[in-house]
Amino acid sequence: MSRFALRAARSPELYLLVLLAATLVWFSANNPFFGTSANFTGLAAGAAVLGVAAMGVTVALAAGAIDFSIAGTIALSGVVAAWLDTRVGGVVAILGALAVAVLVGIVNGTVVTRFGINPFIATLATAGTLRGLAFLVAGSSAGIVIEDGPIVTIGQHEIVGIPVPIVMFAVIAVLGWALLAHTPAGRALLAVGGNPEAARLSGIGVAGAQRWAYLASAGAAGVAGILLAGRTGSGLPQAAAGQELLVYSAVILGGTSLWGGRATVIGSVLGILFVETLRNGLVLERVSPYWQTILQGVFLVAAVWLVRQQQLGRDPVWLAQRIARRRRSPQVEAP
Amino acid sequence: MTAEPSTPIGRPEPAGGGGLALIGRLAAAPLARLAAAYLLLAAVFAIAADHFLTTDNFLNIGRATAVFGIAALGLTVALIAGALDVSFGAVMSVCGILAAERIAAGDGAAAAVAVALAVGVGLGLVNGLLTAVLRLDALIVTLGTFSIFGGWAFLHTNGAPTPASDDAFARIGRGETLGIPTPVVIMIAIALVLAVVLRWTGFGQRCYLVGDNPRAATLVGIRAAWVRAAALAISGLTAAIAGVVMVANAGVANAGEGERQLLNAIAAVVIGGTALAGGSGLIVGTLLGIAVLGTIDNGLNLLGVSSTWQDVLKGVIVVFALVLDRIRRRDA
Repeated sequence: MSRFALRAARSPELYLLVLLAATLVWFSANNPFFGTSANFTGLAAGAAVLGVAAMGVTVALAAGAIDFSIAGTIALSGVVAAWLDTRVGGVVAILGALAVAVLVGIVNGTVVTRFGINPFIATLATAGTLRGLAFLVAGSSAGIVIEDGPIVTIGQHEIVGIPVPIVMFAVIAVLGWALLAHTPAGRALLAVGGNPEAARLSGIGVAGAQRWAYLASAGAAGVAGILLAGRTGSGLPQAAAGQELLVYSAVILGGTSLWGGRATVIGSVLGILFVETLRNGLVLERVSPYWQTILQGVFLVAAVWLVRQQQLGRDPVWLAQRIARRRRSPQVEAP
Repeated sequence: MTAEPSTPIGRPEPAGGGGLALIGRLAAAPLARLAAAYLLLAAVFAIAADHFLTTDNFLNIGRATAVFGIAALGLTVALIAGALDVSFGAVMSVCGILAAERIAAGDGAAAAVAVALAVGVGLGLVNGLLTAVLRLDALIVTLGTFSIFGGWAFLHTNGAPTPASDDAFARIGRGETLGIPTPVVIMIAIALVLAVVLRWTGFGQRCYLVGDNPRAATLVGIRAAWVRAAALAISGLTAAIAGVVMVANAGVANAGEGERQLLNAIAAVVIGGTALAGGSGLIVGTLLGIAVLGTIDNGLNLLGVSSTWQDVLKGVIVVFALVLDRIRRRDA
């Protein structure tokens, strides 16, 4: 096998692509509505919202910055956008919601890097605060309705036949990919996540990089919140509740490490498409939504386990080689 | 509850130093400062709110904290052994629902409690086995099982409440023992047992060692993975007890109810000084953490702060407490 083919066969993205294709084929064969273009467009537009958040998570995880407050940020940014929209208009609302998200990123980054609080606990705590703030701004759990305007345009309209959320997802994905794969800043993030001490010794500011990482994940969650508000036509304080788990499962499934140093934007895109396809197919098959919660947990554990196996060099190529070796010399351990 | 703070990491310190050294050590102990901070907090509420300093109110605080407090106690053991268990909220829901179903089937309180506790230990062992066999971090495994157990609770009940009306069962959640609310008595009893286990049994010492330095523990012949699995089983057991108390108190079991206790319980453990990295922590600390969180909730209630604002403030206070704790340790 050529070196390129070997590398391709060892990439987690390939497995995910196969898994995604198999899911698509399975649901297309089983459900006549699944394969329609209307369903695919809806599926992709829905995936785009969480996909944008997943891009931020991917970039943040590159630097080892775990941020469990993204769902809270999505809700707060959506509610703030809706609140400002009814008072001062759409453009200011979008900017205001983004500013709130940036502020969240700064707070998370400061708490984690300046005070060295465990990021999981720190962002779990801020998540509660953000969710509470979203309810405060919304006034009630009914949310705030958004009239036609820039926010609804972003959420529901199309550019050359493609829904705007998908276009934005694509643009942000390309930016994220370029950042991580082709810029010194991206390499610095990965270096900090992979080995903070080595990064420090080679002159990279570890705390600074992680602060940017928290800014990226909160900023992307803010954009996702605005998109979601636009799509649903309202700012809901309970928006995206529990979806941080879905996003993290998808990102880790794609091959990004939860502990930093390894991040793949392409893997995250495929991961989000996979979990959303699965969700869409299960809904069409009328499987209880609670099954999706269960599957999410299974996929999270399975994905982390697979990534771990791969780090140990135990991938399908290794397995194939091992089986081939066994076949070639079956008598090695003869008595 | 008085002499414990002198050993902040929970292992017997080498002998030495006289009475003066003991006082110095006590003043330097994080738990002594936490207790002082608690008294300050209580004093503020006592001045600001009329009914704060009454026996009834303190019994109220106890009643309100017992559910997440009981879960936090087992969580402390798991965390000391280096296993952060975030699935306990879902375990609470599952066990509460199963207990309620036994009651509805007419099996009586004893059978209901037995089923719930057995399932709780079982789910804790599932966490432990997955952690040991897959060689994964407990946080990842329990994040996954959090979804799996919690999803199952919804799937099983279809999101509908399960009533649990039985007098004997209700007494677990609403009754009084020796004039003290039964949930509080249960919490104190569990705290005593776990404190003794951690301090005076070989298993307890192994928990500290495994959490502190798993490699060293392995080198001296301790099976780190199995100690962690046992600690996770204890966390599952206390989660089940917390679930039973929760359902007995409410008279009805709902999927998703236990998950709401997640932040409270973890915050109580962490504020109580148990390190997230494992290897150090005390049951007394967690009790103080429980008291702090319960008092904050109670005080804000008495001052008429809305529940939404309480959600907002809770996160801020937890982060603030963690930051303070961090600064304190850096100074030390």
